[in-house]
Amino acid sequence: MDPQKTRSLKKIGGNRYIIEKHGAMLVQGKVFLSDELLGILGTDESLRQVENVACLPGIVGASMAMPDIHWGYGFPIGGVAAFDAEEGIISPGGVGYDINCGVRLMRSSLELAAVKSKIGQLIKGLYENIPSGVGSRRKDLKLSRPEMKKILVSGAQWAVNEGFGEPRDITCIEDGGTLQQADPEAVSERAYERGKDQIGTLGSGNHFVEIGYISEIYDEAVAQAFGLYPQHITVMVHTGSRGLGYQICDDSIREMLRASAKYGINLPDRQLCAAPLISPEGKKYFSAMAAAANYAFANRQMIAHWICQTFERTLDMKRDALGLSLLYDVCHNIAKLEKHAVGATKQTVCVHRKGATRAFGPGHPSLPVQYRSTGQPVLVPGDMGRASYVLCGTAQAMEETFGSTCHGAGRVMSRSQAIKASHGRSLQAELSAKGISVMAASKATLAEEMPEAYKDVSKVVRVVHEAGISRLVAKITPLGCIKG
Amino acid sequence: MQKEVVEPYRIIDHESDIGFEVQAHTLEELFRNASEALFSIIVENVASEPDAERRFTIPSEPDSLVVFLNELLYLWDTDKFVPSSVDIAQRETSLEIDTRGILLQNDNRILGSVKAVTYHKFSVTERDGLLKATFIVDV
Repeated sequence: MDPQKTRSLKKIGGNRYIIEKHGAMLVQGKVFLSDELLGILGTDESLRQVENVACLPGIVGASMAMPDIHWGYGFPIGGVAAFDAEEGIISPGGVGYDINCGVRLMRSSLELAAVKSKIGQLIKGLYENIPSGVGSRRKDLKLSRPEMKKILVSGAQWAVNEGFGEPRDITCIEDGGTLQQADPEAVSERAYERGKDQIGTLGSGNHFVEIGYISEIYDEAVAQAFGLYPQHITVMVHTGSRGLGYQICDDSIREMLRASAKYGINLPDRQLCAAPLISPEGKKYFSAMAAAANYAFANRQMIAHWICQTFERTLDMKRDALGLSLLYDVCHNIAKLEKHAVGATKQTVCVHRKGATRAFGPGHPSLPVQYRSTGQPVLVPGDMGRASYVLCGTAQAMEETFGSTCHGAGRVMSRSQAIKASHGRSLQAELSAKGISVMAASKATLAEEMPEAYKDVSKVVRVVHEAGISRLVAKITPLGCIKG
Repeated sequence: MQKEVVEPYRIIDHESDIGFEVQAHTLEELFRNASEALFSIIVENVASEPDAERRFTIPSEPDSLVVFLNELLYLWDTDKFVPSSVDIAQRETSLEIDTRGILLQNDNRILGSVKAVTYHKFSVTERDGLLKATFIVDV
């Protein structure tokens, strides 16, 4: 173990480490890690990023990181931080370029044995029906500016109004698929230009649509409440706000660099540039970010509709017979105003989750009725060769992490290392030998996203489960996926 | 005196994203090499004669290189414009950029995507007449 990496870390037990307040840190750092995962942290950069976030004005509680922590820019990936709504800041670097990159999971009544032989056909159908890859566009969908504005205001509701999916889907999306603070006027012309042809597309990089099946149940009662049964087929979607979100983030960072100087915010990393939440710059970013989040909700809603269409056509069955329905849709990159206990008082804070998932516990009023007694479904995708998990939110998460948990496996290998490691191998053939059918728009993406490039997600979810900040419900084993 | 030939760019390993170190003798060359570095992970070598031109003006400031590269990403995302040459006219407070290249027609030549060039660990330094820039892109 690199002593530099662990110098500032103090183990407190229960899969928790703290970084005591030092230097300009306003609060302590708290990292959820097992000893094993600490041992494979690539560099100490991500821990330094936890410390940097702790220096930002108005931070409350602790600067936190989940066990999928890895080196990001500004915030670490896997970072969670909450800022006082009156005294605190908002930072585009705490959300990232892919605003509301997130995951949705659909469950079905189809059993593995009945469709195993059709997985290849289903993957091919999904690949043909859902535009994926760099610069992917949907040629049959040309949106006028007023229509784009409707998407930015209404999010997933716009998609449902246009016939993509069903009204019942809305309750199963974080915040009903619409962030009310969105203001399309806060979005630049350039962001509209960049996003206008990309709605309804998957994109590239780590974005995917994956067919899997429930291979293990850890909590029968909750799994039943979530409608998850052994051997049943699931479909997971991972994508975000595409070029629109990237441009909003880039526009905002330039404004926030000026705002940081204007408001005297000392920046340990320029990518952490920020403005007071109540300042004009802070409010503008929040409104634009919410608009991008709504675009991402609409995007996943549309893709889910085409998934249903593909299943119907390929299996020659109606949606009701397929039993394909939305379990939940969660954001992984977002900033939100939420009420949480801070010390003895309950206050409104702006929670930044950058590569982290909301994990609201049982009884939270914002959860749909069907999940109010279980806690929120938490969706944690792994790599394309091993597993993904469904967990549920807990009261412990509400007390300790502003209702947050991990979001994925977290990279352990750089992209160039992954490309080198894949040299001379056929990843498609290797995955196929394991019964996983993969179609990708780019060979390079497939190499960069190879399973070994990621930590074992099973070890990551075990940490949050044991720490009590979310609880294991079910394991999903992949059968096939499309990548951008 | 003849200028030493330097390696235009190299990739720096980063856990989740991709970093670059770019070298040049002049600001114009630095921008050109940085553009080449950026597009080396987006498109396969495009040897065609330039048939498109894009002009834009950016403020002359310490972050100009990041602003320039993000402008190229915008042109790529909206137009599939792939730059092959970069000319810069330095004004008092701005840089006038004239870039020539092609509008990519063949998607088979696309290698990967870049969301943005970040300000994280961004630096431009000068030593003995050699400019060196470091930047990390979000992929």
